[in-house]
Amino acid sequence: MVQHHHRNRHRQDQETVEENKEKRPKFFINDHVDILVEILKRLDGRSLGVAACVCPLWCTIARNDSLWEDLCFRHVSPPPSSVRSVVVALGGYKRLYMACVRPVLSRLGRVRRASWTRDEVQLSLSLFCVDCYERLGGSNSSNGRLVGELSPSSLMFLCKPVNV
Amino acid sequence: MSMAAVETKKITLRTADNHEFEVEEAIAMEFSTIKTFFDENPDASEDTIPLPNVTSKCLSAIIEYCKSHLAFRARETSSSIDEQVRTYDEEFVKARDNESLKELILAANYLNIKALLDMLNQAVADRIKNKSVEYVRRFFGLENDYTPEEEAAIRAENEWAFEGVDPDDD
Repeated sequence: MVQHHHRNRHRQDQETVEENKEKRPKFFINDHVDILVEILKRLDGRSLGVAACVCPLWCTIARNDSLWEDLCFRHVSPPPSSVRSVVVALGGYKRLYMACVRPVLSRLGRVRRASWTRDEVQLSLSLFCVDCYERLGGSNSSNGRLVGELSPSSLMFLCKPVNV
Repeated sequence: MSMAAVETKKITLRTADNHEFEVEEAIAMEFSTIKTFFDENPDASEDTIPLPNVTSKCLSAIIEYCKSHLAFRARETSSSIDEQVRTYDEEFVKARDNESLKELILAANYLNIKALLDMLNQAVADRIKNKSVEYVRRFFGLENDYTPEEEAAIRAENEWAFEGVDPDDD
């Protein structure tokens, strides 16, 4: 009687092990980082921010600047060439997106358009240069200004969304 | 030269669940994995190619996709063809649940079919766009392996992303 019980339990344990193997998703995305990157590349900015909060691995991947490069110029055809070294030198594509691309897009209002014009791209890149220039000025803290404080003549007000 | 019609070469594929699919060579060549194999082994006379990572359900969907896209490509390019391709792709994806979609991605990745993979990746991206963190975790079956402090910090860092997220509808 006791032996029978042991045999049953052993079979049950085996079944549980197999069940657990089945339960683990066949497609575990974190095992396929190349696919994950391809999916994240196709998200909008906000979803990329959400993605960073999913788990530490996603956070690391979402910090990859090339994802933000895709995002900035996705709808521009042809994508601006030879700006990458400049953008990277000025702070990288995520910063470009957060400081300039996103505010410009939100200023353009709720109307979603499929593509960017060259002018919108140029404007963002110009604002980005301004941002970098002013950060350089701030860190020299002339006139006893605190680092990061904007002087009244700063152009960075352009980056703040306006309540009209 | 013989005037007899040349039979199109067929290749047999065996799936993980032991189903065999006979496909025309042109279709099998859409799978870069298989094309590479034949490029590197031109004298190979494999009767059946085993695909241990692909189920029959996935393979039949993939074969259908490749057949349709081959047919589209054979026609003259025009905006109406482009429209038909877009519609076909939308329909291909629309009916599939999240699990099937993920399985197809894995299969398309294994078989290395770039156009299909890009299309499926875009479909998944569209399904997780503007969704909550919890929704995305559920979608992929991911555990939250942040500590509460880490999670609070990363959410604070990305606070701007959380405005206007769709409420979960699942």
